Amino acid sequence: MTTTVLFALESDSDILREYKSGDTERAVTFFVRKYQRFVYSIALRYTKNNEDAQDIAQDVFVKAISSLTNFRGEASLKTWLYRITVNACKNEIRKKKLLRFFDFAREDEEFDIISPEPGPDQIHVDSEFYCNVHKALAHLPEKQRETFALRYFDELTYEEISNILGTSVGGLKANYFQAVQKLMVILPQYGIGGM
Amino acid sequence: MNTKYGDNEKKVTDNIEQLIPKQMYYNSLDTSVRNLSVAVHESLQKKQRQKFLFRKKVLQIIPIASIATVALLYFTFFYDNVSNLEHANHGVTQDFESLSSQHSTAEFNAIIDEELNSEHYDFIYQDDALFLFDDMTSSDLQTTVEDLIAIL
Repeated sequence: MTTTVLFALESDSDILREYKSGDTERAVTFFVRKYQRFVYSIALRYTKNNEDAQDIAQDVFVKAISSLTNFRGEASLKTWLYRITVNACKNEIRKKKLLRFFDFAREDEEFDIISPEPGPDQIHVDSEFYCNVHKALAHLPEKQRETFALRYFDELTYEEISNILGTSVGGLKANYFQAVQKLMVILPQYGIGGM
Repeated sequence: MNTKYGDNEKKVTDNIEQLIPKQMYYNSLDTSVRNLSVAVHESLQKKQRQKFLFRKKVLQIIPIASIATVALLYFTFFYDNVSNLEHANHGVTQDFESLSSQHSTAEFNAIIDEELNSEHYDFIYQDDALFLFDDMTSSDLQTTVEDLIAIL
């Protein structure tokens, strides 16, 4: 009796090797699972809308996977994905602004993170918590918000964030510290930690 | 200095961790992206299917387009020239026959020689079409012959 053991693809190089060797389905699954949180949360921070963020995340993965064979490895996959996602978000925001200009889209910029499928209570609590965290993050300037999110949630090193955002490590540290100080004040206003 | 900053950052991060527990944040994210992998696979398959259908369409169109192009080229360049040349040759033969029937051979040759040596010489010989029937269109040939008839 033979047993087939399928090893999880942990590192970027494993995923790339598997994808280039032809087992694309497995590589794609691991690739998406590894970076879905990362891509989705960036999209949500920029678009402030659950559905838009999900659509953008899906498009970003399709785009990235289509050009995965051309990925030269000059930057890390995370940096590469960050850039694709931010560009996609900025395009979407530009499109929305244009639609709003012609009054085809709604005016308000409120967060819309309620899950499309109503689920158990926990999901609702998670969504509410998540929604409030992102509302608080939206009060920060873009650079501070991105530095905080990449450092705290995505646990990137300052060097990696510096490559992504193009800011010096010293500047990033200052941004992170200021972001935390502001959040300590803002978060209780959204019922987080103040109870 | 770095250690001092590291200590400070740890303290700051601990404070924020109490407000935003990472695990809770990740759980809520996972709720939102739980179907993303499936959606991406479906999108990729759809894209692949569209690409396949496009290639199939192109492969279907290529033979038809090739046949149509060859036919078009044939009718534009080959068929047109052949029919024109036949028509022109027939016209020229008739014109020369009628000319020669009106004059005796000696007279005819004398008229031709005279005209070729006259001021019309250049006009006649400049027109390469007289010698290169293949390159002439029917209207060119007709015009030349009409000119020659007029001269004669």
